[in-house]
Amino acid sequence: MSALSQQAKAQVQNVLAKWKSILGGAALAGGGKALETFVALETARAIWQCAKVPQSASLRNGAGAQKFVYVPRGAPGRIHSLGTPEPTHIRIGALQPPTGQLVELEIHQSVQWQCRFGAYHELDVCVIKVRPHFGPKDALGQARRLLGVECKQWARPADLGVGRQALALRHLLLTRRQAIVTTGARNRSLANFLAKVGPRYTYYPSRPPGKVGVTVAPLLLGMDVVNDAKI
Amino acid sequence: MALENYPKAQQLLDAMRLAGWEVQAAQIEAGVLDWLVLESAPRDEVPLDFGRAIDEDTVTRVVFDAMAMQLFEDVYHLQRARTALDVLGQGQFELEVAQSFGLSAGPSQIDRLVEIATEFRASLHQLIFEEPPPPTSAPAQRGVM
Repeated sequence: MSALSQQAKAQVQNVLAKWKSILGGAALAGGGKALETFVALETARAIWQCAKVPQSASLRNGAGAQKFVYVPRGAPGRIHSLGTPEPTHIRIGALQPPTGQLVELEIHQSVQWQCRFGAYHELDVCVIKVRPHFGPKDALGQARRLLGVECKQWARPADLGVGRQALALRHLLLTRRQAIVTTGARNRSLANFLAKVGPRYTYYPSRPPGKVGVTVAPLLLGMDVVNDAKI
Repeated sequence: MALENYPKAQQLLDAMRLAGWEVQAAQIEAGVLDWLVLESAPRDEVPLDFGRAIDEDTVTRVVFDAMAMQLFEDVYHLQRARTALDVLGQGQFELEVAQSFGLSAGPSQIDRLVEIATEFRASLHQLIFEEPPPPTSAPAQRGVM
């Protein structure tokens, strides 16, 4: 065993010991929830900053009441379901050019949506356009799903199965755009698959492995907001 | 292709294994090998560079980044999430990470963990590359991309 390995090992053990002393034995990792939280809030930030005339950004609970603490949903649930602690989502209002009509978008995390066959499927992050006159948001067609994001916090490469999952989810839930955010590299089969299925499936490359890239999302989403009439 | 050709990168992974992170080291190794295959694959515009050599320093830095992220990924993500939330709420919104979330930490704990992660990253970088890390390369300072 090299001296370098031994010294690096000592550093890793030292930092893990410090870490545990702060967390008091709590889990080191949240199984990908931190990544989903980041993607949800980063997407919201991007919409807010891309909207030409942003009007409001607020946090809401399942009943629509305003909150000031963002609490990620712990386990997948229906959009109006309450938990302990109560999960929140982000609501953004923007004036849509050229009509000046107010458009309200919501960004939800870990919500299960009903598909065309009646079953429920979770989207890690979902952006919807609120259409209050169409009734409850969780019914198919009542909330326009503009973007669904599947997050994979993996060190190993994302494979073809991830691409197929995104494709299936988009068709089942009639989501306008489906994206994949992964912390690992993609393998060749996924790269080929995404290249063939078209631009509505966006892979956010994360190279080198371990880095997350969601740079493209705001630009695409900004265009969606601006060109909402075409959606 | 194997990492035996990149002894420094291999030593980093050995250190993780020695510290008890065998599974994580194996995952990083698989990811880096896949990345190496993609990087050395023929490019559309220049098919002649098939099998081009990737220097050891580049591979070591890839392993190093993956290792730092693997150890502290959640904290970095939470820090970035808070940065985005600050923009949205102009400083009025807070992020609460609950027990049900799996990683139980309040704002002050997250700040301290980020500090530790940044210190660790800097000292390990110094050990591996014999130079301090460039300021922009630390995930803790990258903020929202």
